[in-house]
Amino acid sequence: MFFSKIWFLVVALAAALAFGGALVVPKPGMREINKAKAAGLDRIQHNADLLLRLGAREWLDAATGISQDRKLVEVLEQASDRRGEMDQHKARATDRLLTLTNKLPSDRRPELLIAVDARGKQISRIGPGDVRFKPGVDGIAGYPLVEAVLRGYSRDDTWNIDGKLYLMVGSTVISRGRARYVGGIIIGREINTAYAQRMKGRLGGDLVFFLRGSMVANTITSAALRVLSRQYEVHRKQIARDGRSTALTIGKDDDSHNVILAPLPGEAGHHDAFYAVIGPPTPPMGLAESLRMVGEQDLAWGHYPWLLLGGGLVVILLVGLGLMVMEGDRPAQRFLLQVGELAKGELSRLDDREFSGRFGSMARSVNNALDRAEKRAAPPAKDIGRILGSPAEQGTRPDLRLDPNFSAMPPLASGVSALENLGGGMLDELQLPPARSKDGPPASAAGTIEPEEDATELQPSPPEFDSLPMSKGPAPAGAAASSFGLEPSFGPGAPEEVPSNRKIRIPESELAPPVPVRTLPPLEGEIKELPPLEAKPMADEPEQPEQPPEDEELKTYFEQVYNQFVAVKRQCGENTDNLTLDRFENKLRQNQDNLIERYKCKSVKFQVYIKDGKAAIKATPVKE
Amino acid sequence: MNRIAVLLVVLIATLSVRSSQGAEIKGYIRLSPEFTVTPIFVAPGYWQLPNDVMEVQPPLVDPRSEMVVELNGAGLPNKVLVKPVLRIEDSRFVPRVLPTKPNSKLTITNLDWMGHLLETKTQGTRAKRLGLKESMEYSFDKPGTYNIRCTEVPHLVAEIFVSDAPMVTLPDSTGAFRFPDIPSGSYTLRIWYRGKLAYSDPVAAKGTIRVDVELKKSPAKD
Repeated sequence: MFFSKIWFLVVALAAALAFGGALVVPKPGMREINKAKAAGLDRIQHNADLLLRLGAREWLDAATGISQDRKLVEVLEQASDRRGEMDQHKARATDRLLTLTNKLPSDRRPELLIAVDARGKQISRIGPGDVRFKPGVDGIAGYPLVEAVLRGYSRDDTWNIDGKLYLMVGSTVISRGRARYVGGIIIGREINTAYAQRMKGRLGGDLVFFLRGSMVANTITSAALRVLSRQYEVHRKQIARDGRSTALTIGKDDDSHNVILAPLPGEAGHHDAFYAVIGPPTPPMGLAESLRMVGEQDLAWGHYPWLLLGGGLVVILLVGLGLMVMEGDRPAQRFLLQVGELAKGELSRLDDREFSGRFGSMARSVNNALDRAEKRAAPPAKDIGRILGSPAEQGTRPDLRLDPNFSAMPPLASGVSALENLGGGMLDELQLPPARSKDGPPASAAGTIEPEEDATELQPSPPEFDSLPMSKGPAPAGAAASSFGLEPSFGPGAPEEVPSNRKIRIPESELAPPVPVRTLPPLEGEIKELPPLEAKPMADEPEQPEQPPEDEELKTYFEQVYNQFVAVKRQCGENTDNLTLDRFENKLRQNQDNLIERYKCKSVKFQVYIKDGKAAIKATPVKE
Repeated sequence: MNRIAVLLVVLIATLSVRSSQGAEIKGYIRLSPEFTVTPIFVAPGYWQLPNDVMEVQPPLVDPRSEMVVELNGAGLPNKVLVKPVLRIEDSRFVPRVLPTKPNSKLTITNLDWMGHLLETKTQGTRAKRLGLKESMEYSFDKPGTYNIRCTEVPHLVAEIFVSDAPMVTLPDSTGAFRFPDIPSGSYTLRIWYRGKLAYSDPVAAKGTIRVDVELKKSPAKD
């Protein structure tokens, strides 16, 4: 399930990244839109600057035209020379100025007209201040515009007159003889709302003009515009450096605007005269807004990567399903199959090596449970001794072998025990390594005989004791595990080999601790030579002794078994010197008693057979 | 006889006094082409085009008349050789630069055709209204350069140069200046322009001497 989980995490991470990307993606777009709007507003401001500049030039040309009027030149020549009455000069100059300006369209007539002599003294003034000046006396030469005009320049400026903003232009008046400057013509246009509206009509954007913190002209009304003078103060350095501010957002919600502030040139600039171009704000652009703006064209087949999206989705699903099948379904099926076989008795244990992850843990847990149940049900290891005889006899019988494949009868195996290679040597001591199934966990004791449910029907071949290594020292658990096991047999004939694919191997760490070595008492009596009996290999049907007799017949039965055993041993070329009838009989009797007591059976049937070229005996409980 | 005696005494005393001072410095300032004139008020518009008929005239106010000349040294009388009076006429201050001494009063008289609201940073933030034909007094207690300006007419600016030098004067529109009736001796001549030291050189005054000063560079800015 490792890769399934990893895949799930990968898909979840990809989904999270995709969602996060979807949330983030509109923001750069929003910035780009803001930039585009700012660029648009910047162009409007640039155009406004050009309009103001071109307007100043137009008015400059108009002032130049007026300054070349001969009647005006004559009046100013006389005024500069202090010839004649100033009031007359004023009247003549005023009349001429009005005549000239009245020729202009009404919306282009200047609001302020001033004629000055060569010293900058006002000769005529039409507009603000015209009632209080004294012609020929009150001069305005201190104005930079007037000073420049008196020196021979034509220039423009901005003035603050009584809190109103004026765009001023002036042009030099040259004497008729073109020998000297005799004064200048100063023209002013008030920047009011009408002026701003005319500019808006040419710009396509709203305009607001400020002077000394007060709005003097505007094409838009908004409470948010009140902050512009403060914004101008805040961005004063930037505006002075760059000629304008960056695009600013003022106001909130429906009353928000994007603005760019730009200074007005000239003298009024020292009174914080500036203008602002105003554009609509950028609407908020998040994921939801972006999705709402998606149209059919955006999802058209040629405009949207449906194939890539669908293919990617299919690949993701296939990979996920494949991983689930590989790591989930198939192990579960195998697990269920083995559990089914285990329930049917076809398996003694689950092969937990085939499983990894949780299925491996489940298999090991099942096996552990089986082992515990087996431990509780298994007879103590001394039963082997009972079967094989006294420890002394076993110690003197080096040829006594237990089937290395035998350890303990699994719960599902038939309740049959086997004696094999029961030789005549005496065992000094019997060392029983920790018994275990061939590939399974250690059994509680070797030679344990487990009963069948129905021995009469099964007629099983007993597990075989064969070539059990005997030594005086404790055997290593691993070696014992590999050389000692149980192979149950279910057929009436020779014991069947358990299919190799059903053998279970248990890791060393899961083996039970070694069973303590038990010293068996020496065998008593002598081995009596018996006439040889012919024994058939187990491949054939072994010669079956008669049914266990009662009392006296039992002894005869044991003798028959003994004779058969000795005969088979000899036939196999084994030594029978240490094999005696009494001890053999005692062992069979003890074995029989144990089996009867344990499995509540009526009798025990012993069979002699040859396995791997050696004589062996198997015991089968008989219930009927 | 008595009258003749008195006249003789006065004549002798006068001659003795003049002989004890007996020096006068006459100077002249010339501006080299490298010298940059800094207008006291700058407010360019969009356009400033010369006419194509006549040559453009120089500024109406010569920049040399806006320089302050100091004479430093021991034994000099402590006085300013310029009247401490500023006039407002034709929408400008005359003179535009006025030297004065610390704690000396100067008078501003409005001879313009409109009232003005004057302010200076050192006199507090409140501006003072100066109506037609009215006058008001200012004084500055520390040496330095101060501006008095009209809050309604931005170009109306005067520069007050408060000097602790013994003798201070202004050149005329031709750049000429003089320090009359000073004791013979060695002094230091300094010229300030827009609050910056533009010239400083020792001068030995004995009898009447003429000092020609050529300003090549504008004083360094702050």
